[in-house]
Amino acid sequence: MLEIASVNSFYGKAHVLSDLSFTVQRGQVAALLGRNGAGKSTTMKSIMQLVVPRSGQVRFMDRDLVGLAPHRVAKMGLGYVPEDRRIFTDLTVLENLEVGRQPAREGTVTWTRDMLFDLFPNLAERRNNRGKEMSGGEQQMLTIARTLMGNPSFVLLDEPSEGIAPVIVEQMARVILQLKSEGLTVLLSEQNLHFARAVADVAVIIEGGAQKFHGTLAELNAQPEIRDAYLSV
Amino acid sequence: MSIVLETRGLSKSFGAIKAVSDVSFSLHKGELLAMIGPNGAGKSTCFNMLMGQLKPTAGTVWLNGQDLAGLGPRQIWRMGVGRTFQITGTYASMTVAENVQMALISHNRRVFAILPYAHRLYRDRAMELLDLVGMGDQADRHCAVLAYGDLKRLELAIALAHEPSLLLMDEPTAGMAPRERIALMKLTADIVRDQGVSVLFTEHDMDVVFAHAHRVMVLNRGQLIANGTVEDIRNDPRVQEVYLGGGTLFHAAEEGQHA
Amino acid sequence: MGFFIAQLLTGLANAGALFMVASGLSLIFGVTRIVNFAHGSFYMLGAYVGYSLMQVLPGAVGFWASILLAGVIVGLIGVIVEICVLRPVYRAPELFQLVATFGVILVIQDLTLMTWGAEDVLGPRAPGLTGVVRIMGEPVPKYDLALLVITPFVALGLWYLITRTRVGVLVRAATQDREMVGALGVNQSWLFTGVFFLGCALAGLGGALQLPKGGADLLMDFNILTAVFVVVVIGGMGSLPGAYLAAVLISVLGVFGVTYMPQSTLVLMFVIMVLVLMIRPYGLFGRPEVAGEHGQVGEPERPIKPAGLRARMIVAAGLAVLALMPVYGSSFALVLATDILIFCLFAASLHFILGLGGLVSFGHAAFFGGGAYVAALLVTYADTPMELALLLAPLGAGMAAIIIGWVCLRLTGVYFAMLTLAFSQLLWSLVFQWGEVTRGDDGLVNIWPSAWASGTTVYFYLSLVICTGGILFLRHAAHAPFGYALRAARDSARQAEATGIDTKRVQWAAFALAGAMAGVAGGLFVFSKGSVFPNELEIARSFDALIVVFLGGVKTLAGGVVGGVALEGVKDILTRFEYWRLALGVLIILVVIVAPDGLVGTARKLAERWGILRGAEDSK
Repeated sequence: MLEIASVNSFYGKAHVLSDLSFTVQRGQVAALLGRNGAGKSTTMKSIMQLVVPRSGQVRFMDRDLVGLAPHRVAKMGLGYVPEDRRIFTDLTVLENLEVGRQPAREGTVTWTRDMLFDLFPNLAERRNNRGKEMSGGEQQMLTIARTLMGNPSFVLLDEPSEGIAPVIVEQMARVILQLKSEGLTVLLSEQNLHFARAVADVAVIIEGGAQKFHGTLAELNAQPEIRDAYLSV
Repeated sequence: MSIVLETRGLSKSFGAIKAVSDVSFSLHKGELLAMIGPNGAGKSTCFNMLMGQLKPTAGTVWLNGQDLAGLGPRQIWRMGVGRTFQITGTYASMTVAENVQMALISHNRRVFAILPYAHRLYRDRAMELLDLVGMGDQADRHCAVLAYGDLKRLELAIALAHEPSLLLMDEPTAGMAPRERIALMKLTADIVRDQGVSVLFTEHDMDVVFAHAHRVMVLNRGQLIANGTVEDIRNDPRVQEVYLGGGTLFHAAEEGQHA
Repeated sequence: MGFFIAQLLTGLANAGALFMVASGLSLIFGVTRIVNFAHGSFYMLGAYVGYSLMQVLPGAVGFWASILLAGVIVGLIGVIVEICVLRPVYRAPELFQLVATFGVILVIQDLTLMTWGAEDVLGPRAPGLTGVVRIMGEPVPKYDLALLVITPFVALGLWYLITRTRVGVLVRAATQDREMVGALGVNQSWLFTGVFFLGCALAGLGGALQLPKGGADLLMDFNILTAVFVVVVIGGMGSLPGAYLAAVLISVLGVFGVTYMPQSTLVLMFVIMVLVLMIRPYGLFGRPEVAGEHGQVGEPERPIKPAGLRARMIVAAGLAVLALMPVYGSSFALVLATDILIFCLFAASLHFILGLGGLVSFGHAAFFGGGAYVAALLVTYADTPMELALLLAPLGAGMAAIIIGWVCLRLTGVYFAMLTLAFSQLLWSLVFQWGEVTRGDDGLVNIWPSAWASGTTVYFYLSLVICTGGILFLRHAAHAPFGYALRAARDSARQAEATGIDTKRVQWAAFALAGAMAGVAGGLFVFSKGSVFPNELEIARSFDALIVVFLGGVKTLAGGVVGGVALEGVKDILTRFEYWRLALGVLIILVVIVAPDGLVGTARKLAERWGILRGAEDSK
């Protein structure tokens, strides 16, 4: 469904992704693993075209995304949840969801507010609260809910477990599994291998912006030397 | 052991909301004390009161026996409290060494000097501090191009510039990879041991907390619900309920240590 | 009592145009983060376009249709400006777009002059609303009453749009994080263009609506700009109710001011503003700006180093060439060189606080003109010799900077910028209205140097020594702990404060130093020209310095000086033509688009690319 082929991305002069390639199949939950600074967030942004790759291809449903405006990428069914949450703190929960709202899309779930409130009961209680009045965990849920309002067929989750309490992390894992059961494809970046094990089918390990491993989590578990070399657990 | 920091009945209300209520604890010399709790539990508010950024609604804070009431952040800093931030705050337009030199210039009260060249002042002392955190070889690099983990270490060097007796660290390992986290906390623990500094830190990574803290406090809804050894806290059912959860998604402290 | 009510109603009517322009400015700033200096120009265009339409469209229907159409047409002109000028520079460093909008002001000024001529235009009366209504015996123009009714409707409509519709939600979301809005599938470009249309249409509408009251003239753009900034600052950036309330406050007090304190109408506005800000630093309904918001662009500056041997040799050689100028240059060239030197010192003083401190002052002319007036007043009233006057000019300007800085530095970012502008306008209006002392618009004349310095060559040398001395001093200060502390406060105020640096005091001291240096330049200026007029304190003068610093390059120490030479040089050539503003405006816009790092920054990047200079660290 998503194919990254020989992508090279730069931040200013720093060469962050070098010849990065991997694929994600429809219906999978894929975990993008790697150390801090390995290029995980840049990979996410390069898919969304928030960072435009200097060379290579990002093929989504057989169409190259490179060079498209981010809103066009979003319109094709890619939903992006940034690592630093970036909710609209001056807007209420309902208004945040409104910003994310897009027309229904064929071949994927059409989310309504009520469905999302079922998924995230905390948000329902706080629907008229402003974003800044919410805790970190609630904000994290809101960013995911906001992205789902765009009815994406493919969700990019950048570091969903970072900086939140362990109880919320567990809830996050349940949500991701539920998205999978609804037929969505998910690519999440993660530093917490335990979290990845709990939710993902396949793992992609990157280091220095290049792919070092691509396989199922069972295969990864069978090769502890890879884990030790690249994941610094 | 002598008490470095002590609070009694520390409280802060914003309007009708009690962000922190009646928090009392003490921190001994050479101790690494962790403060954990869900987001919004009042950890940041506590920190800001200790640092003088917020005025407590009630309660007292003593630093080495001295009441901090009414003192601002700069005065508290001069009394020997250093601080690092969750999101690093370094001077992006300067070199690594100059970042530390700036803190030394301030410590020596020469901020308004207009004649000497700043990059020549306290260079040697800055290098010592950078060597201490393992950044000596990067002293002349541009701060803006540093890796995140190195920025954290630089920030630690800045916080140590005025030889503080107390270090407040707000989520010191946020945004770092597991191995970097362990390395940074090990460095901090070494400094605690060698320099006789006391550290109070907040943290979400339980591996870090359980591996390095000497003692742990748990805040929930502004109240101190537990205060004890790592073992006490892990087995405390209330802490499990409000914060730790089932414990399936973080690994045990023992596992973290052998990395 | 009747008189009082009539006054109140007139004030409320006057608030209409002010509110529309201010809310447009506020909206555009919110979403695009651009302080649209050209907003006054769109207001002016609205008046002229409305006037022309009214000549064609007859009757009451024609009148009101003209007003609406003027709004739409000006909105469309705004769209053209947004697409052609601003889109290419959204990625440029923040505030660099200011320079582009200033270019737009110049272009619109000359285009208006070309189209409608230099004569003021008398606004047509509104059909059916020409007379007066007597309220408790006092006459109130019917048209005022109409405005009184229309404005709240416009305000309510806007409020509904922003708070109750999807478009409004998107606008507010984009105000906070426009990149994220894009990543959620919203086409930002059209959102920006749409907001620009709305903002400009509001300005145009305001301009057309006030035609029957004030007509149209070529000074409208700057005249309303100050009031609009004051309204936005008092009301709070981004707040519609705030803008409405502040517009009413300013207008009503303005009307009463004319009646009871005719000598101080302009000053009154600023006094109110300062009072409001003392109590509510972010305006009546404003909120503090959130530091480190998303969507900021521009790479951090590089570390600075004192000039190496090669650079010092080049500077020394340059100075030698300058010093020998009397040998080979004409006396005209000497006068021009003196002007440029003075201007470079002025620009370098702004660059000190703007480049190193990140303090974008829109009102630096207050200290240049202030210094000039201090010297001129001393000479006129106390027969002070030039030498003493040149010493006291920076002292006076520095004192002014200490007072103004104390108020302005309570705020940051765009609020700080607007406050400085308002204060420089306050000084300007003091000078302009206090005719007995300052001779108002006639200026102070016959202020000549002491006998020994009266020759062109001697005065050139005097300026050369003082100006290069000042510039080198500022440059050295940049490398001293003080300059470092100033950069520290800009890079991370939080860290600086957490390590014992009193950032506000550092910035205050820097502001005072920059003011004093601008005062030196102002003093030199008076004696070189022999006279001074209020326009040395004008917005346009402040903008000159801003343009120079941005064009030269904010992030390079040499930016101020290089920009100063470039702008003064170009101006000297262009002002020989009739429509020089148009040419200069277009030129400025082109430079902004082509060289977003400023002249020095761009030159350095090119030099690095071609291998002449060693590049930044990570390019190896």
